[in-house]
Amino acid sequence: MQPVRAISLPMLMLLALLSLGLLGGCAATGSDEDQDFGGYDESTNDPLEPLNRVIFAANEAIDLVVIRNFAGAYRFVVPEPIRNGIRNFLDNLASPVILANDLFQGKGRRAETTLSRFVLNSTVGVLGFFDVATEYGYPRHTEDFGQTLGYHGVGEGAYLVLPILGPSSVRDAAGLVVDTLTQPLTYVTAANDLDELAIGTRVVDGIDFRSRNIETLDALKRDSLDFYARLRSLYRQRREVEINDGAVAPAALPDIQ
Amino acid sequence: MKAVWRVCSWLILVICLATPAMAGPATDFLRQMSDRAIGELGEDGIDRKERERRFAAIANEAFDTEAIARFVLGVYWRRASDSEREAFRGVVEEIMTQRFLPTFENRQVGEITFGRESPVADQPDQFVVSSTVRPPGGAPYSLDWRVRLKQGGDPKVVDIVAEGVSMLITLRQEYGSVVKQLGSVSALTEELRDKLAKGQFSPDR
Repeated sequence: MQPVRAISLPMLMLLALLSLGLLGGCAATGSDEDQDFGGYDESTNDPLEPLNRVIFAANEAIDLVVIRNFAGAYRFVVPEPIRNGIRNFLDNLASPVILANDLFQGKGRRAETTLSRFVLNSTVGVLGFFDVATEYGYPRHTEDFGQTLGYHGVGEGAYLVLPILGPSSVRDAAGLVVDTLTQPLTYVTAANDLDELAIGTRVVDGIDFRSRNIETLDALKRDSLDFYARLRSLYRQRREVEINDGAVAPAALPDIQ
Repeated sequence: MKAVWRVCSWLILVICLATPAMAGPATDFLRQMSDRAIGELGEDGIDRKERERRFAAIANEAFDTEAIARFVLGVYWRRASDSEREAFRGVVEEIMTQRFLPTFENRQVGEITFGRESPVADQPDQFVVSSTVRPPGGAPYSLDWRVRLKQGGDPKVVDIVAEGVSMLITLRQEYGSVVKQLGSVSALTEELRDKLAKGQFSPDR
């Protein structure tokens, strides 16, 4: 069972601790261009940039050689209805984590939606392969512990690029650890020695996600001069919106004179 | 007769649904611009060059390229020489044209429904018009248009925000990083010209 947990969890924690140490030193030092945003915090928040760029380049290489091809093959070989069924199944598996974070944020209505989705899709939706809940008026939303921390006012911490997983932050990487612990499946697979299942679901999840974003990422990269800087900006803006449950905070609009 | 009546009531329903709750001058401006683009590009018998020329004129009128260029360069704008500024502004204009021409040309963007128009706090001349885009065969997404209504001037788009991601902020952070690495605004402008020549801003390729 150990590969996923033995390597990635301690590593995430180590990264988190390392970067927390760096936070204090770097929070106050904004360079000239960081302060030109009329109240909007637009520093790139990236004290680990040299290391991040190395990991980013490695991720890019792995993606180019392995992941993108797998994703393309997956999309080519597996018919769409089956891929959608698998997506629904994996989404449904994530429901307990979303529910926990709805509750951690005290959002009763959203927790109710997540719970209803889980019950409906696990039963009427045949173990989650069909997303019937959306048609019943319970559309899907996501939550994770990184968002929960953000919702309660915890800053993002330094920007991080995680091996394979890609853009993240100290806060969101710590959130990943907590989300693994609030996922009941973690304990089920650990107790029954089903590591292949645990790893398998993650791998399929990743391949499926990538297969749905081949054109988007290609287009995003094509007109980019510094793809690293672009993804960093996109990631940080998207997380802010996700923490606000889709609403753009009015204060986030940059000052244009 | 019954069928005609049914069609009429459907039409009325659709029109009611499509009418925004709160239209305003910024929304009117966006509608007018997009109608004009679709109309002028849809004319029969005009060649590629003419299309580009027409759309460049519309894009130049619709976007506040000066404000966009200034914001995207940020602190580097202040340090840049007049000729560097003008060259960069020109490139921004060409990027907008190359990026958005196919959108209106093929109408691949899908149906846009304009929604609320709300003022921007502390910037009384600016409004955000929210819209929902339904691309053919894809999931709908939100697109917010930030429009500035300059006194005595024409309204202009200063930013486009897709699902909460601002074009201005993204370009500012990316191009800022490029200027830092290459050392000058003119080097950035050169790189962008190179991409333009290859047509890499066009979403079509």
